[in-house]
Amino acid sequence: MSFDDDDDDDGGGSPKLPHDVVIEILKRLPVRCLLRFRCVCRSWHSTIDDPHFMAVHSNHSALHASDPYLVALDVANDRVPRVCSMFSNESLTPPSPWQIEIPFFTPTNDHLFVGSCNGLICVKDTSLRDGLERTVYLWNIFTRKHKAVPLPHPGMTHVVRGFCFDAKSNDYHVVRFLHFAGVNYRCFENNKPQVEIYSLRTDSWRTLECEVPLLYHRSRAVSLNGNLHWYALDWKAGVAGSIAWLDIAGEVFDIMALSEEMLPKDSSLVVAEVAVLNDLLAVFVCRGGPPGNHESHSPCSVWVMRDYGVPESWTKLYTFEVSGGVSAFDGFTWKGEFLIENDDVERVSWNPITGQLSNLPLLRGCDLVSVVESFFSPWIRLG
Amino acid sequence: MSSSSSSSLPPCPKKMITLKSSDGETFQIEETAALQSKTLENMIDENCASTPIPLRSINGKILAKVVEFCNKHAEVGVDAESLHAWDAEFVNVEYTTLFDYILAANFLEIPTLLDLASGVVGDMIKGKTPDEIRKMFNINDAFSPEEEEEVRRANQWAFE
Repeated sequence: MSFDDDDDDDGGGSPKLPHDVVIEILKRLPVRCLLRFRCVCRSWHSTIDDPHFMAVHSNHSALHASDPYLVALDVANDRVPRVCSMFSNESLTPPSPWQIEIPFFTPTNDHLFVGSCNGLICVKDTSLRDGLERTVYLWNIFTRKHKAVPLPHPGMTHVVRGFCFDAKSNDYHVVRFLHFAGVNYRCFENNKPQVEIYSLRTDSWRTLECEVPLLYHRSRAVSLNGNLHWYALDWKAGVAGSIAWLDIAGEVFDIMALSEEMLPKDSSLVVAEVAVLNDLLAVFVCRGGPPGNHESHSPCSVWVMRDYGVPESWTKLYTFEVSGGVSAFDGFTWKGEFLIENDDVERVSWNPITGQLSNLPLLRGCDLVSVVESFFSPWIRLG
Repeated sequence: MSSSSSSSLPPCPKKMITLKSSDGETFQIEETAALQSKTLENMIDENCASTPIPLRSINGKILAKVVEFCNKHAEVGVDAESLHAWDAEFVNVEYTTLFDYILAANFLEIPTLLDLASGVVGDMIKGKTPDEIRKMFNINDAFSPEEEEEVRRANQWAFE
Protein backbone atom coordinates (compact mmCIF):
# COMPACT_ATOMS: atom_id res chain seq x y z
CA MET A 1 0.00 0.00 0.00
CA SER A 2 1.30 3.41 -0.85
CA PHE A 3 0.21 6.92 0.02
CA ASP A 4 -1.12 9.03 -2.77
CA ASP A 5 0.62 12.33 -2.16
CA ASP A 6 -0.66 14.12 -5.27
CA ASP A 7 -2.74 16.49 -3.17
CA ASP A 8 0.07 17.36 -0.82
CA ASP A 9 1.21 20.83 -1.89
CA ASP A 10 3.55 21.41 1.05
CA GLY A 11 6.59 20.17 -0.77
CA GLY A 12 6.17 22.60 -3.67
CA GLY A 13 5.47 25.64 -1.49
CA SER A 14 2.82 28.20 -2.29
CA PRO A 15 2.40 29.69 -5.74
CA LYS A 16 4.17 32.99 -6.24
CA LEU A 17 1.62 35.76 -6.53
CA PRO A 18 2.16 38.49 -9.15
CA HIS A 19 2.35 42.10 -8.06
CA ASP A 20 -1.21 43.08 -9.07
CA VAL A 21 -2.62 40.15 -7.10
CA VAL A 22 -0.61 41.11 -4.00
CA ILE A 23 -2.18 44.59 -4.29
CA GLU A 24 -5.63 42.95 -4.33
CA ILE A 25 -4.85 41.46 -0.92
CA LEU A 26 -3.00 44.43 0.58
CA LYS A 27 -5.66 46.99 -0.33
CA ARG A 28 -8.04 45.22 2.08
CA LEU A 29 -5.74 45.46 5.09
CA PRO A 30 -6.00 47.94 7.96
CA VAL A 31 -3.43 50.74 7.99
CA ARG A 32 -1.66 49.40 11.07
CA CYS A 33 -1.02 46.07 9.29
CA LEU A 34 0.30 47.82 6.20
CA LEU A 35 2.78 49.80 8.27
CA ARG A 36 3.99 46.56 9.84
CA PHE A 37 4.21 44.77 6.51
CA ARG A 38 6.48 47.44 5.03
CA CYS A 39 9.37 45.41 6.45
CA VAL A 40 8.31 42.08 4.87
CA CYS A 41 10.45 42.59 1.78
CA ARG A 42 11.65 45.19 -0.70
CA SER A 43 8.75 44.75 -3.11
CA TRP A 44 6.07 45.05 -0.41
CA HIS A 45 7.90 48.07 1.01
CA SER A 46 7.87 49.92 -2.29
CA THR A 47 4.27 48.85 -3.04
CA ILE A 48 2.94 50.11 0.30
CA ASP A 49 4.86 53.41 0.01
CA ASP A 50 3.66 54.00 -3.57
CA PRO A 51 1.15 56.92 -3.81
CA HIS A 52 -0.70 54.88 -6.45
CA PHE A 53 -1.27 52.11 -3.91
CA MET A 54 -2.35 54.72 -1.36
CA ALA A 55 -5.02 55.86 -3.84
CA VAL A 56 -6.11 52.26 -4.52
CA HIS A 57 -6.38 51.63 -0.77
CA SER A 58 -8.37 54.86 -0.24
CA ASN A 59 -10.77 54.04 -3.08
CA HIS A 60 -11.35 50.58 -1.70
CA SER A 61 -11.93 51.91 1.82
CA ALA A 62 -14.36 54.53 0.50
CA LEU A 63 -16.39 51.93 -1.43
CA HIS A 64 -16.41 49.45 1.43
CA ALA A 65 -17.04 52.14 3.98
CA SER A 66 -15.59 50.79 7.16
CA ASP A 67 -17.30 51.90 10.31
CA PRO A 68 -15.93 55.15 11.64
CA TYR A 69 -13.98 55.42 14.86
CA LEU A 70 -14.81 57.95 17.52
CA VAL A 71 -11.89 60.07 18.62
CA ALA A 72 -11.95 62.08 21.84
CA LEU A 73 -9.49 64.77 22.91
CA ASP A 74 -8.77 63.85 26.50
CA VAL A 75 -8.90 66.93 28.63
CA ALA A 76 -7.92 66.03 32.15
CA ASN A 77 -9.06 68.68 34.65
CA ASP A 78 -8.12 72.06 33.23
CA ARG A 79 -4.96 70.93 31.49
CA VAL A 80 -4.70 71.00 27.73
CA PRO A 81 -5.19 67.71 25.88
CA ARG A 82 -2.06 65.64 25.46
CA VAL A 83 -3.59 62.42 24.14
CA CYS A 84 -6.58 61.24 22.13
CA SER A 85 -8.70 58.20 22.82
CA MET A 86 -9.81 56.28 19.80
CA PHE A 87 -12.86 54.07 20.23
CA SER A 88 -13.27 51.17 17.86
CA ASN A 89 -16.32 50.96 15.69
CA GLU A 90 -17.75 47.95 17.46
CA SER A 91 -18.94 49.65 20.57
CA LEU A 92 -18.40 52.78 22.55
CA THR A 93 -17.99 50.88 25.80
CA PRO A 94 -14.78 49.46 27.29
CA PRO A 95 -12.43 47.50 26.77
CA SER A 96 -10.42 50.62 26.91
CA PRO A 97 -9.83 52.63 23.76
CA TRP A 98 -6.50 53.22 22.09
CA GLN A 99 -4.59 56.11 23.54
CA ILE A 100 -2.69 58.09 20.96
CA GLU A 101 -0.36 60.92 21.81
CA ILE A 102 -0.99 64.18 19.99
CA PRO A 103 2.19 64.59 17.95
CA PHE A 104 1.96 68.39 17.80
CA PHE A 105 1.20 68.88 21.47
CA THR A 106 2.61 72.01 23.12
CA PRO A 107 1.75 72.89 26.72
CA THR A 108 1.11 76.55 25.83
CA ASN A 109 -1.63 75.79 23.31
CA ASP A 110 -5.09 74.33 23.57
CA HIS A 111 -6.38 72.05 20.82
CA LEU A 112 -9.84 71.63 19.37
CA PHE A 113 -11.21 69.53 16.53
CA VAL A 114 -12.38 71.47 13.48
CA GLY A 115 -13.73 68.37 11.81
CA SER A 116 -12.87 65.17 10.03
CA CYS A 117 -13.13 64.18 6.37
CA ASN A 118 -11.99 61.18 4.37
CA GLY A 119 -9.70 59.91 7.09
CA LEU A 120 -8.04 63.20 8.01
CA ILE A 121 -8.76 65.08 11.21
CA CYS A 122 -8.37 68.85 11.27
CA VAL A 123 -7.21 70.22 14.63
CA LYS A 124 -6.69 73.87 15.48
CA ASP A 125 -4.52 75.21 18.23
CA THR A 126 -5.26 78.27 20.29
CA SER A 127 -2.61 80.03 22.29
CA LEU A 128 -3.42 80.01 25.99
CA ARG A 129 -1.49 83.30 26.28
CA ASP A 130 -3.41 85.53 23.85
CA GLY A 131 -6.33 83.36 22.68
CA LEU A 132 -5.27 83.55 19.04
CA GLU A 133 -5.21 80.69 16.56
CA ARG A 134 -1.97 80.37 14.65
CA THR A 135 -1.86 76.88 13.20
CA VAL A 136 -4.17 74.12 12.04
CA TYR A 137 -2.99 70.53 11.78
CA LEU A 138 -4.17 67.96 9.26
CA TRP A 139 -3.67 64.69 11.00
CA ASN A 140 -4.03 61.08 9.92
CA ILE A 141 -4.42 59.37 13.26
CA PHE A 142 -4.05 55.93 11.60
CA THR A 143 -0.63 56.55 10.06
CA ARG A 144 0.25 59.05 12.86
CA LYS A 145 1.40 61.55 10.26
CA HIS A 146 0.43 65.20 10.30
CA LYS A 147 0.95 68.43 8.44
CA ALA A 148 1.07 71.82 10.11
CA VAL A 149 -0.69 74.62 8.22
CA PRO A 150 0.20 78.10 9.50
CA LEU A 151 -2.60 80.66 9.38
CA PRO A 152 -1.88 83.93 7.57
CA HIS A 153 -2.08 87.19 9.60
CA PRO A 154 -2.76 85.49 12.93
CA GLY A 155 -3.18 88.78 14.77
CA MET A 156 -6.67 89.31 13.38
CA THR A 157 -9.91 88.15 14.91
CA HIS A 158 -10.63 85.02 13.02
CA VAL A 159 -11.93 81.59 13.69
CA VAL A 160 -11.31 78.33 11.90
CA ARG A 161 -14.74 76.87 11.37
CA GLY A 162 -14.77 74.13 8.80
CA PHE A 163 -12.95 71.26 7.17
CA CYS A 164 -14.16 69.42 4.11
CA PHE A 165 -13.17 67.23 1.20
CA ASP A 166 -14.31 68.13 -2.29
CA ALA A 167 -14.48 64.99 -4.42
CA LYS A 168 -14.72 66.99 -7.66
CA SER A 169 -11.33 68.62 -7.17
CA ASN A 170 -10.00 65.76 -5.00
CA ASP A 171 -8.85 68.33 -2.48
CA TYR A 172 -9.14 69.03 1.23
CA HIS A 173 -10.13 72.50 2.41
CA VAL A 174 -9.98 74.37 5.70
CA VAL A 175 -12.35 77.32 6.04
CA ARG A 176 -12.03 80.23 8.43
CA PHE A 177 -13.95 83.42 9.06
CA LEU A 178 -12.48 86.82 9.65
CA HIS A 179 -14.35 89.29 11.83
CA PHE A 180 -16.39 86.45 13.16
CA ALA A 181 -19.39 87.27 15.29
CA GLY A 182 -19.06 84.21 17.45
CA VAL A 183 -15.97 85.68 19.06
CA ASN A 184 -17.04 89.24 19.51
CA TYR A 185 -20.47 90.16 18.32
CA ARG A 186 -19.54 93.84 18.13
CA CYS A 187 -17.04 93.06 15.39
CA PHE A 188 -19.95 93.02 13.02
CA GLU A 189 -20.68 96.67 13.55
CA ASN A 190 -17.61 97.80 11.67
CA ASN A 191 -16.34 94.88 9.70
CA LYS A 192 -17.85 92.81 6.96
CA PRO A 193 -17.30 89.14 7.52
CA GLN A 194 -14.83 87.52 5.19
CA VAL A 195 -14.06 83.91 4.40
CA GLU A 196 -10.64 82.42 3.71
CA ILE A 197 -10.10 78.94 2.31
CA TYR A 198 -7.03 76.77 2.48
CA SER A 199 -6.42 74.17 -0.24
CA LEU A 200 -4.20 71.21 0.58
CA ARG A 201 -3.52 70.65 -3.11
CA THR A 202 -2.00 74.09 -3.59
CA ASP A 203 -0.94 74.42 0.06
CA SER A 204 -2.19 78.01 0.07
CA TRP A 205 -4.96 80.27 1.36
CA ARG A 206 -7.28 82.43 -0.71
CA THR A 207 -10.01 84.91 0.19
CA LEU A 208 -13.49 84.24 -1.13
CA GLU A 209 -14.93 86.99 -3.27
CA CYS A 210 -18.53 86.10 -2.55
CA GLU A 211 -20.87 87.99 -0.25
CA VAL A 212 -20.93 86.41 3.20
CA PRO A 213 -24.20 86.69 5.11
CA LEU A 214 -24.09 88.36 8.51
CA LEU A 215 -24.48 85.37 10.73
CA TYR A 216 -23.92 84.32 14.24
CA HIS A 217 -22.95 80.70 14.43
CA ARG A 218 -20.91 78.81 16.91
CA SER A 219 -21.40 75.26 15.73
CA ARG A 220 -18.82 73.11 14.02
CA ALA A 221 -19.35 72.83 10.28
CA VAL A 222 -20.79 69.69 8.78
CA SER A 223 -19.51 68.53 5.43
CA LEU A 224 -21.83 66.93 2.87
CA ASN A 225 -21.77 66.83 -0.94
CA GLY A 226 -18.59 68.93 -0.97
CA ASN A 227 -20.38 71.74 0.88
CA LEU A 228 -20.02 72.96 4.45
CA HIS A 229 -23.07 73.61 6.62
CA TRP A 230 -23.57 75.53 9.86
CA TYR A 231 -26.55 76.10 12.04
CA ALA A 232 -26.85 79.88 11.87
CA LEU A 233 -28.73 82.74 13.45
CA ASP A 234 -29.23 86.09 11.82
CA TRP A 235 -29.89 88.41 14.77
CA LYS A 236 -30.58 91.49 12.70
CA ALA A 237 -33.25 89.83 10.60
CA GLY A 238 -34.80 88.30 13.69
CA VAL A 239 -34.77 84.91 12.06
CA ALA A 240 -34.96 82.02 14.48
CA GLY A 241 -32.48 79.84 12.66
CA SER A 242 -31.40 78.52 9.33
CA ILE A 243 -28.59 76.58 7.75
CA ALA A 244 -25.78 78.60 6.25
CA TRP A 245 -23.91 76.64 3.61
CA LEU A 246 -20.83 77.23 1.58
CA ASP A 247 -20.23 75.71 -1.83
CA ILE A 248 -16.43 75.63 -1.84
CA ALA A 249 -15.94 74.86 -5.53
CA GLY A 250 -18.55 77.34 -6.73
CA GLU A 251 -17.58 79.96 -4.12
CA VAL A 252 -21.20 80.58 -3.16
CA PHE A 253 -22.47 81.25 0.34
CA ASP A 254 -26.19 80.73 0.82
CA ILE A 255 -28.96 79.97 3.29
CA MET A 256 -31.20 76.93 3.53
CA ALA A 257 -34.43 77.58 5.38
CA LEU A 258 -35.68 75.40 8.20
CA SER A 259 -39.38 74.72 8.55
CA GLU A 260 -41.28 76.69 11.21
CA GLU A 261 -42.39 73.46 12.80
CA MET A 262 -38.77 72.62 13.60
CA LEU A 263 -38.27 75.75 15.66
CA PRO A 264 -41.51 76.59 17.45
CA LYS A 265 -41.62 80.16 18.69
CA ASP A 266 -43.33 79.32 22.00
CA SER A 267 -40.40 77.46 23.54
CA SER A 268 -36.81 78.31 24.19
CA LEU A 269 -34.28 76.66 21.97
CA VAL A 270 -31.44 75.10 23.92
CA VAL A 271 -29.40 73.28 21.30
CA ALA A 272 -29.66 73.16 17.53
CA GLU A 273 -26.97 71.43 15.53
CA VAL A 274 -26.51 70.27 11.97
CA ALA A 275 -25.37 66.68 11.38
CA VAL A 276 -25.33 64.03 8.70
CA LEU A 277 -27.45 60.90 9.05
CA ASN A 278 -27.36 58.22 6.33
CA ASP A 279 -25.99 60.74 3.82
CA LEU A 280 -28.82 63.16 4.53
CA LEU A 281 -28.49 66.58 6.07
CA ALA A 282 -30.01 66.39 9.56
CA VAL A 283 -30.81 68.88 12.31
CA PHE A 284 -30.94 68.04 15.99
CA VAL A 285 -33.20 70.34 17.98
CA CYS A 286 -33.55 70.41 21.74
CA ARG A 287 -35.93 72.75 23.51
CA GLY A 288 -36.06 73.68 27.15
CA GLY A 289 -38.89 72.43 29.32
CA PRO A 290 -41.56 74.74 30.77
CA PRO A 291 -40.04 77.89 32.28
CA GLY A 292 -39.05 77.62 35.92
CA ASN A 293 -39.09 73.84 35.99
CA HIS A 294 -35.49 72.77 35.85
CA GLU A 295 -36.20 69.20 36.89
CA SER A 296 -38.13 68.47 33.73
CA HIS A 297 -37.20 66.53 30.63
CA SER A 298 -35.86 68.20 27.54
CA PRO A 299 -37.82 67.41 24.39
CA CYS A 300 -35.52 66.62 21.45
CA SER A 301 -36.26 66.03 17.81
CA VAL A 302 -34.28 65.07 14.75
CA TRP A 303 -35.16 66.17 11.23
CA VAL A 304 -33.68 65.16 7.92
CA MET A 305 -33.77 66.95 4.57
CA ARG A 306 -34.97 64.17 2.24
CA ASP A 307 -34.02 66.09 -0.93
CA TYR A 308 -30.79 68.00 -0.52
CA GLY A 309 -31.37 71.74 -0.84
CA VAL A 310 -35.19 71.49 -0.81
CA PRO A 311 -36.51 73.04 2.46
CA GLU A 312 -39.99 71.58 1.83
CA SER A 313 -38.48 68.12 2.25
CA TRP A 314 -37.61 68.51 5.97
CA THR A 315 -39.06 65.45 7.66
CA LYS A 316 -39.26 64.74 11.37
CA LEU A 317 -37.54 61.42 12.09
CA TYR A 318 -37.53 61.11 15.89
CA THR A 319 -38.79 62.80 19.00
CA PHE A 320 -37.59 61.82 22.43
CA GLU A 321 -36.85 63.27 25.84
CA VAL A 322 -33.63 63.51 27.78
CA SER A 323 -33.98 63.81 31.54
CA GLY A 324 -32.42 67.01 32.78
CA GLY A 325 -30.91 69.26 30.18
CA VAL A 326 -28.91 68.91 27.01
CA SER A 327 -25.86 71.09 26.49
CA ALA A 328 -24.47 69.76 23.20
CA PHE A 329 -25.03 67.33 20.36
CA ASP A 330 -22.07 65.65 18.68
CA GLY A 331 -23.74 63.86 15.80
CA PHE A 332 -24.50 60.24 15.20
CA THR A 333 -22.51 57.05 15.60
CA TRP A 334 -22.33 54.67 12.65
CA LYS A 335 -25.20 52.69 14.18
CA GLY A 336 -27.35 55.81 14.11
CA GLU A 337 -27.11 56.39 17.87
CA PHE A 338 -27.11 59.98 19.06
CA LEU A 339 -24.16 61.43 20.92
CA ILE A 340 -25.42 63.94 23.44
CA GLU A 341 -23.79 65.92 26.21
CA ASN A 342 -26.09 66.47 29.15
CA ASP A 343 -26.17 69.29 31.69
CA ASP A 344 -23.62 67.53 33.87
CA VAL A 345 -21.22 67.57 30.89
CA GLU A 346 -21.53 63.77 30.66
CA ARG A 347 -21.66 62.06 27.31
CA VAL A 348 -24.65 59.85 26.67
CA SER A 349 -25.85 58.00 23.61
CA TRP A 350 -29.49 57.51 22.69
CA ASN A 351 -30.50 54.52 20.66
CA PRO A 352 -33.55 55.39 18.53
CA ILE A 353 -34.57 51.74 18.14
CA THR A 354 -34.52 50.69 21.77
CA GLY A 355 -35.14 54.19 23.13
CA GLN A 356 -32.31 53.59 25.60
CA LEU A 357 -29.93 56.21 26.94
CA SER A 358 -26.47 54.95 27.91
CA ASN A 359 -23.56 56.70 29.52
CA LEU A 360 -20.35 56.78 27.50
CA PRO A 361 -16.94 56.22 29.07
CA LEU A 362 -15.68 59.62 27.99
CA LEU A 363 -14.07 62.33 30.02
CA ARG A 364 -16.29 65.28 30.83
CA GLY A 365 -16.29 68.06 28.33
CA CYS A 366 -13.97 66.33 25.88
CA ASP A 367 -14.07 67.25 22.22
CA LEU A 368 -15.31 64.49 19.88
CA VAL A 369 -14.99 63.71 16.21
CA SER A 370 -15.72 60.58 14.21
CA VAL A 371 -13.21 59.48 11.61
CA VAL A 372 -13.00 56.74 8.98
CA GLU A 373 -9.80 54.75 8.63
CA SER A 374 -7.55 55.92 5.83
CA PHE A 375 -4.06 55.37 4.53
CA PHE A 376 -3.93 58.84 3.06
CA SER A 377 -1.39 61.21 4.57
CA PRO A 378 -1.28 64.89 3.83
CA TRP A 379 2.42 65.10 3.11
CA ILE A 380 1.93 63.06 -0.06
CA ARG A 381 0.90 65.30 -2.92
CA LEU A 382 -2.58 64.63 -4.23
CA GLY A 383 -2.49 63.12 -7.69
CA MET B 1 -52.43 30.15 -34.35
CA SER B 2 -48.92 31.39 -33.98
CA SER B 3 -49.14 31.36 -30.19
CA SER B 4 -50.28 27.71 -30.09
CA SER B 5 -47.45 26.62 -32.38
CA SER B 6 -44.79 28.47 -30.36
CA SER B 7 -46.01 26.99 -27.06
CA SER B 8 -45.53 23.49 -28.47
CA LEU B 9 -41.86 24.13 -29.22
CA PRO B 10 -39.38 22.44 -26.87
CA PRO B 11 -37.63 24.86 -24.46
CA CYS B 12 -34.57 26.51 -25.95
CA PRO B 13 -31.54 24.36 -25.03
CA LYS B 14 -29.16 26.06 -22.62
CA LYS B 15 -26.11 27.42 -24.34
CA MET B 16 -23.01 25.69 -22.99
CA ILE B 17 -19.34 26.49 -23.41
CA THR B 18 -16.41 24.19 -22.76
CA LEU B 19 -13.30 25.07 -20.73
CA LYS B 20 -10.12 23.06 -20.88
CA SER B 21 -7.69 23.04 -17.93
CA SER B 22 -3.88 23.04 -18.07
CA ASP B 23 -3.89 19.27 -17.45
CA GLY B 24 -6.36 18.57 -20.25
CA GLU B 25 -9.62 18.15 -18.28
CA THR B 26 -12.70 19.67 -19.90
CA PHE B 27 -15.59 21.33 -18.09
CA GLN B 28 -19.00 22.35 -19.41
CA ILE B 29 -20.42 25.60 -18.08
CA GLU B 30 -23.61 27.42 -18.99
CA GLU B 31 -22.97 30.63 -20.85
CA THR B 32 -25.03 32.63 -18.33
CA ALA B 33 -22.76 31.40 -15.51
CA ALA B 34 -19.60 31.95 -17.55
CA LEU B 35 -20.54 35.60 -18.09
CA GLN B 36 -19.39 36.35 -14.53
CA SER B 37 -15.89 36.12 -15.95
CA LYS B 38 -14.95 39.23 -17.94
CA THR B 39 -12.32 37.22 -19.80
CA LEU B 40 -14.86 34.59 -20.92
CA GLU B 41 -17.46 37.25 -21.67
CA ASN B 42 -15.05 38.90 -24.10
CA MET B 43 -14.38 35.56 -25.79
CA ILE B 44 -18.10 34.84 -26.07
CA ASP B 45 -18.67 38.34 -27.52
CA GLU B 46 -15.97 37.73 -30.11
CA ASN B 47 -17.40 34.29 -31.01
CA CYS B 48 -14.26 32.55 -29.81
CA ALA B 49 -16.16 30.26 -27.44
CA SER B 50 -17.48 27.66 -29.90
CA THR B 51 -14.47 25.37 -29.38
CA PRO B 52 -13.10 24.36 -25.96
CA ILE B 53 -11.31 27.35 -24.42
CA PRO B 54 -7.82 26.37 -23.23
CA LEU B 55 -6.91 27.80 -19.79
CA ARG B 56 -3.24 26.98 -19.52
CA SER B 57 -2.69 28.58 -16.13
CA ILE B 58 -5.50 26.77 -14.28
CA ASN B 59 -5.39 23.07 -13.39
CA GLY B 60 -8.41 20.79 -13.40
CA LYS B 61 -8.77 20.68 -9.64
CA ILE B 62 -9.03 24.48 -9.36
CA LEU B 63 -11.07 24.93 -12.55
CA ALA B 64 -13.68 22.49 -11.21
CA LYS B 65 -14.03 24.70 -8.11
CA VAL B 66 -14.20 27.90 -10.17
CA VAL B 67 -16.96 26.41 -12.34
CA GLU B 68 -18.79 25.34 -9.17
CA PHE B 69 -18.49 28.90 -7.80
CA CYS B 70 -19.81 30.47 -11.00
CA ASN B 71 -22.71 28.02 -11.16
CA LYS B 72 -23.70 28.73 -7.57
CA HIS B 73 -23.54 32.49 -8.10
CA ALA B 74 -25.63 32.22 -11.28
CA GLU B 75 -28.40 30.28 -9.54
CA VAL B 76 -31.62 32.23 -9.29
CA GLY B 77 -33.59 32.54 -6.08
CA VAL B 78 -30.68 32.00 -3.66
CA ASP B 79 -31.09 34.36 -0.72
CA ALA B 80 -28.13 36.46 0.37
CA GLU B 81 -27.76 34.70 3.70
CA SER B 82 -27.46 31.17 2.33
CA LEU B 83 -25.12 32.35 -0.44
CA HIS B 84 -22.97 33.96 2.24
CA ALA B 85 -22.85 30.66 4.14
CA TRP B 86 -22.04 28.78 0.94
CA ASP B 87 -19.19 31.23 0.18
CA ALA B 88 -17.78 30.82 3.68
CA GLU B 89 -17.68 27.05 3.20
CA PHE B 90 -16.17 27.45 -0.27
CA VAL B 91 -13.17 29.39 1.02
CA ASN B 92 -12.67 27.20 4.08
CA VAL B 93 -9.51 25.72 2.51
CA GLU B 94 -5.72 25.90 2.82
CA TYR B 95 -4.15 29.24 1.92
CA THR B 96 -2.31 27.63 -1.02
CA THR B 97 -5.70 26.74 -2.54
CA LEU B 98 -6.91 30.28 -1.83
CA PHE B 99 -3.89 31.60 -3.74
CA ASP B 100 -4.90 29.38 -6.66
CA TYR B 101 -8.46 30.75 -6.50
CA ILE B 102 -7.08 34.30 -6.48
CA LEU B 103 -4.81 33.61 -9.46
CA ALA B 104 -7.68 31.98 -11.39
CA ALA B 105 -10.12 34.78 -10.48
CA ASN B 106 -7.53 37.35 -11.49
CA PHE B 107 -6.87 35.65 -14.84
CA LEU B 108 -10.55 35.04 -15.59
CA GLU B 109 -11.56 38.43 -14.11
CA ILE B 110 -14.25 37.18 -11.74
CA PRO B 111 -14.56 40.07 -9.25
CA THR B 112 -16.83 38.22 -6.79
CA LEU B 113 -14.36 35.35 -6.40
CA LEU B 114 -11.35 37.68 -6.33
CA ASP B 115 -13.01 39.76 -3.57
CA LEU B 116 -13.97 36.72 -1.56
CA ALA B 117 -10.62 34.92 -1.69
CA SER B 118 -8.47 38.07 -1.28
CA GLY B 119 -10.57 39.11 1.70
CA VAL B 120 -10.06 35.75 3.39
CA VAL B 121 -6.29 35.85 2.78
CA GLY B 122 -6.27 39.41 4.13
CA ASP B 123 -7.99 38.26 7.33
CA MET B 124 -5.55 35.36 7.58
CA ILE B 125 -2.41 37.49 7.42
CA LYS B 126 -3.54 40.43 9.60
CA GLY B 127 -1.96 39.03 12.73
CA LYS B 128 1.09 37.36 11.17
CA THR B 129 4.72 38.35 11.68
CA PRO B 130 6.84 39.46 8.69
CA ASP B 131 8.65 36.11 8.92
CA GLU B 132 5.41 34.14 8.66
CA ILE B 133 4.29 36.33 5.74
CA ARG B 134 7.57 35.69 3.89
CA LYS B 135 7.13 31.94 4.26
CA MET B 136 3.48 32.05 3.24
CA PHE B 137 4.06 34.21 0.16
CA ASN B 138 7.27 32.48 -0.82
CA ILE B 139 9.13 35.78 -0.72
CA ASN B 140 12.86 35.94 -1.36
CA ASP B 141 13.70 39.65 -1.58
CA ALA B 142 13.73 40.21 2.18
CA PHE B 143 15.73 43.02 3.78
CA SER B 144 18.90 42.33 5.68
CA PRO B 145 18.25 42.19 9.45
CA GLU B 146 19.75 45.70 9.86
CA GLU B 147 17.63 47.15 7.05
CA GLU B 148 14.51 45.45 8.39
CA GLU B 149 15.15 46.92 11.82
CA GLU B 150 15.43 50.39 10.31
CA VAL B 151 12.16 50.06 8.37
CA ARG B 152 10.49 48.70 11.48
CA ARG B 153 11.69 51.62 13.62
CA ALA B 154 9.90 54.12 11.35
CA ASN B 155 6.55 52.77 12.61
CA GLN B 156 7.53 51.07 15.84
CA TRP B 157 4.12 51.80 17.40
CA ALA B 158 2.39 49.59 14.81
CA PHE B 159 4.24 46.58 16.24
CA GLU B 160 3.25 47.22 19.86
